[in-house]
Amino acid sequence: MLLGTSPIRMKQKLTKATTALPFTSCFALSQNTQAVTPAPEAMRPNRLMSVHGNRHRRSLALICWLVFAAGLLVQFFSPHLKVSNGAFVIPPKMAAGRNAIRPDEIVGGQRRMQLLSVLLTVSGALGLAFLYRDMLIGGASRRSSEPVEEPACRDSTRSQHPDATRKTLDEETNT
Amino acid sequence: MKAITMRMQKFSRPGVLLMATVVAIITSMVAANATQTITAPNAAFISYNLAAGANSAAITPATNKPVLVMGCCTTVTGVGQVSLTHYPSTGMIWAGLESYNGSPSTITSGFSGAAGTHIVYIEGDHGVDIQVAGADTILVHNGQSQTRAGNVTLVW
Repeated sequence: MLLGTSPIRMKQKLTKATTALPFTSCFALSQNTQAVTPAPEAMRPNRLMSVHGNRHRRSLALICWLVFAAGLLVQFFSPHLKVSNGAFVIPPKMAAGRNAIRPDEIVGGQRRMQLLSVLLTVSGALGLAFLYRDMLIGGASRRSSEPVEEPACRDSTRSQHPDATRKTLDEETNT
Repeated sequence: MKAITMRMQKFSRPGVLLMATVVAIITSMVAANATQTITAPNAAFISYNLAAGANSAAITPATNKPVLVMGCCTTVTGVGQVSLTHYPSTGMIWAGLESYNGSPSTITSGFSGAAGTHIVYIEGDHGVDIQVAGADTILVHNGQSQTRAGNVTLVW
């Protein structure tokens, strides 16, 4: 399907899907991160902190998705002028109409829209990649390494028991 | 509980990777499209298909800078071009070459803001020409008794 259609059509099709996708996936991902982090009862202050962190992270994710979706919307609504042989092709409908054509304004407008679109889309995508870097990089590295549970548990205990890790480090230095 | 967490973790990983792939593909498509648009030169390609005696839509060239106007007819062979500058609310000044019509091409030049002033012929029979449409616009006029098609390119 992707190979058969033109890039603009493909974008139009994908835009519809991706504008709905962010809002559902944003919350789904943040819920998953909440579910993944273990929360024993003894760690209530830490849990509160993690809830605050998750909320902050969720709002950041939402902003990133919104920026990304805004870029796609700008792309969707920009006048899709075809570029052929290094020249913008003015649609025949426009050329046959009664209104005067302003090629410099049409081309300038198209450029501005495309620039805005690419800035929003790329910054949104980079923001998302940064936000979910742990899951992306972690997912890739975990797949390559064998044990799935152990490193995650160690990491989580280290982050949630800083005193314990400090003790073990002190013991190590004493010995 | 741990099993459920594990299952969710396992389920989310491919989902995240799939989502990341989709986002990456869409972003690269947007970037490619934008790059093509941004790097394309300032040129506009306008096609015309005019019945006998008809005029195209008025075209407003960029102001206060030289614009190369090239036109051709695909129905009857012919090509002509002028360098033109649009002075807002005043008119156009141009210099160029008429289309070949059996005898060597002649120079065309002038300065006008009056509608109907001939600028350049772009057809071999000197029937289709670019004219001044007003102080700020130009148009393609078909003076022949048959339909003529072709295109005009503006570079600025």
